Amino acid sequence: MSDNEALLLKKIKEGDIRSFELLISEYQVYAYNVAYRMLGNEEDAKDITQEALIKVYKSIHKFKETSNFSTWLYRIVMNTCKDELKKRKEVTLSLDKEIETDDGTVSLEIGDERLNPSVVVERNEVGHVVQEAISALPDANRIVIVLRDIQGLSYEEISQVIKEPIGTVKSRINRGRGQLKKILMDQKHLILSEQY
Amino acid sequence: MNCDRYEDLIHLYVDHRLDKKETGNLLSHMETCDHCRQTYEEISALKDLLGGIQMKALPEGFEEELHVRLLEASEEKTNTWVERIKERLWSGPKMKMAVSFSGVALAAVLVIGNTGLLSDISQKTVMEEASYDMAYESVEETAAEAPMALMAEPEMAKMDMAVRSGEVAVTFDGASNVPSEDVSNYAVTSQVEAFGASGGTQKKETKVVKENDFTGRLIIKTANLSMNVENYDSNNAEIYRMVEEMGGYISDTSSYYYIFDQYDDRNNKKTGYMTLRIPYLYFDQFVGQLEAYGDITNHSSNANDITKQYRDTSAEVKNLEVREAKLREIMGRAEEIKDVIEVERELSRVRSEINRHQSILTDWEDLVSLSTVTINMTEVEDLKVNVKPVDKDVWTKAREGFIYTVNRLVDALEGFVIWLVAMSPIILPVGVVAIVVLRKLYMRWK
Repeated sequence: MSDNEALLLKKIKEGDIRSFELLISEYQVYAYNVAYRMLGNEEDAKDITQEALIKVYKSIHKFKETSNFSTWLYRIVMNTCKDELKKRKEVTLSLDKEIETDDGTVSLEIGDERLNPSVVVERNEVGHVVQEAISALPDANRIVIVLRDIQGLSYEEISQVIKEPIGTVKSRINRGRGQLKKILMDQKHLILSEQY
Repeated sequence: MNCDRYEDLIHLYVDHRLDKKETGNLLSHMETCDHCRQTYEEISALKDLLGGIQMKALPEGFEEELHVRLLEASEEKTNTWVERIKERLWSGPKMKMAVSFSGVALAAVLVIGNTGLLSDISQKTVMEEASYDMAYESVEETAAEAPMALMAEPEMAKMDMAVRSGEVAVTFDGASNVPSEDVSNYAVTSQVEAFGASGGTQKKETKVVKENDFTGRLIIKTANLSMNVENYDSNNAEIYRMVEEMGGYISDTSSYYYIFDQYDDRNNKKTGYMTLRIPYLYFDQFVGQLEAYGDITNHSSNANDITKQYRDTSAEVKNLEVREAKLREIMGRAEEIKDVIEVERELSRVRSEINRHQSILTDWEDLVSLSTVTINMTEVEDLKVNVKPVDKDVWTKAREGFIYTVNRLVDALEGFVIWLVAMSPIILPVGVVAIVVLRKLYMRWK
C-alpha cells in the first residue's frame, strides 16, 4: 500500500467521499469488468458494481492496511455478484412445468437463437461469444476463470479473494477451462461467422 | 500412461507454475502423446483468447451516479453513529452544564501554558487543509474540463473552425504573427487547406492528418516554462481564456498556497502548474504571448520530428491488415478443431497487434495536432524588489489569533469530555479493578 493510498484511507475513515473516489478511481473499471463477466450484461454490472463500491465505502473501517486493497475489493465485488446470482436463481422458472395463467396453462419454450442470422450479426464481436460461454459456467468455476484468465490475478491472489485454499483454486481453474473449451467448440460456427 | 495427471500439469504449465523437472516430464510426454499435445494447444489458445478480451469502459454517468449514492450512504453512516452518541450525551441539562463548566476550567489552565505551541499547530493544520482542498479542486477541474474540450459541441466547433481557417489565411498572406519553423510549414499548408474545406468537428482534424498520408512533416512540439507573476488567480484565468480561444484545452492543473496567512488574505501566495494543449498552429504565438503575464524565469521548447516512425507504423498496419484478411479466408476453410484454434490464435494475435499500432498512431496524431505546454507559475509580492512596509494591524491579528486558539481549545476539550463520558462504562470498571489490584500489591509489598 503506497503512502498516497494510506493518506486517502485515513481521510476516508473520517468520512471524506472525494478521497474515496480518488482511491477507487483506478480500481472501479476492473470491478466493473469483473461484474460484467460474472453477470453477463452491462446494466446489472453497473448496478452491482456500484452496490459493491458502496459496501466498500461503508465497511472501509474493517479494511486492514496490511492486506491488499485490490484483493479486498475484488472479494466484495465477487460476493455481491454471488448474492445477485443467487437472487436470480430463486426466480428462475422451470421449463418443464406448465404455468397457470388466467387464460389457461402455458409452458415455456427456448427459442433456437443460434440459427437466427440477426442474432449472429448482433454478436459480431469475439467478446460476446466468449461471454456467453463464460455465462454458461457454474458460478464457482466462473469466478476463478474470470479472475485468472481475464483479469490476470495470480493463484495466491485468487485464493485470498475467494478464501479457499490454493488446491481448490487449481482444481476449479482446471475444471472451468475444460468446460469452457467444450462450450466454445460447440459454438465453432458462431465464431466463424463473426467478424474480428 | 495416465493422461489425466498430465492434463492437470498442462494447466499449471500455461500459467507458468511448473518447476523445471515437471516441465521436462510434461514436454517429453507431449512429444509422444498426441492427445495431450492437442489438449495443451487448445488450453493455451483458450487462455490467449480470454486474455485478449478488451476491457469494457465504465458506462456513461457511472461516476456521477456513484457519487450521489455515496453521499446518501455517508449521511446514513453519520446519522447512525455520531447522532446517537450526541443525543445520549447531551440529553440531560445537568450533564450539559457540568461538561461545559469543567471544559472552561480546563481551558483556562491550558491556555496559559500552551498558547504558543497550540497556535503553531493549528496554523499548520489550516495550511495543510488549504492545500489539500486545492489539490482536489484541481483534480475535479481536469475531470470536468477534459471531456468538455474533447466533445466540443458541434456548433461551437464549427464557429471555432471558421475563425481558425480565417486567421490562418491571414497569417499566410501577410507577415506572420505565427512565427513557425521552416519544417512545419509543409504540414501547416496542407492542413490549412483541409481546415477551410471541412470545417467540421474536432474529430475531423485528426482524420485530416490521416488522409493527407503525410506528404508533410509531423512534428510533436512541447514547451516548458517557469514564470513569476504578481497575481496568480487573474493570470491563471487569463491564460485559460486564451487557451480556450485558441481551441485548446487544459489537460492538467494543480495549485496550492506556499505562503498561507490566516489573518490576511492579501498575504497569501500561490504556486502551481498547468499542462495545456494548444493547436499546433498557435503554439509559437501562445508561448510568445505568455511574456506579457509575468517574468519568464525558465523556458525550454522541443520539436520532435516523427514523420518517419509514423510512416513505418502505418505501413506495418497495412501489412497486418492484409495478413488478417488472409487468415480469415483460411479460417473459413478450416475443418479440424485443432486448425480452427490455431488460426484463431494467430488471428487474435494479429488483431491485437493492429490495435496496438493503431493506438500508437492515434496518440501521435493527437500529440502532433495539439502541442503540449507546461507552465510552472509562482506568485510573488512584487516583480521588482523593494522594502516591505511594517504591518499596521499586528495587534488586531494577535488578538484574532488568541481568540482562534481559545476556540480550538474549547473544541478539543469538548471532544475530550465527550470521549471521556462515552468511554466511562469501560474506564470505570477498569479503574476499579486497577485500584483493587494495586492495593493488593501494595499491601503485599508492605
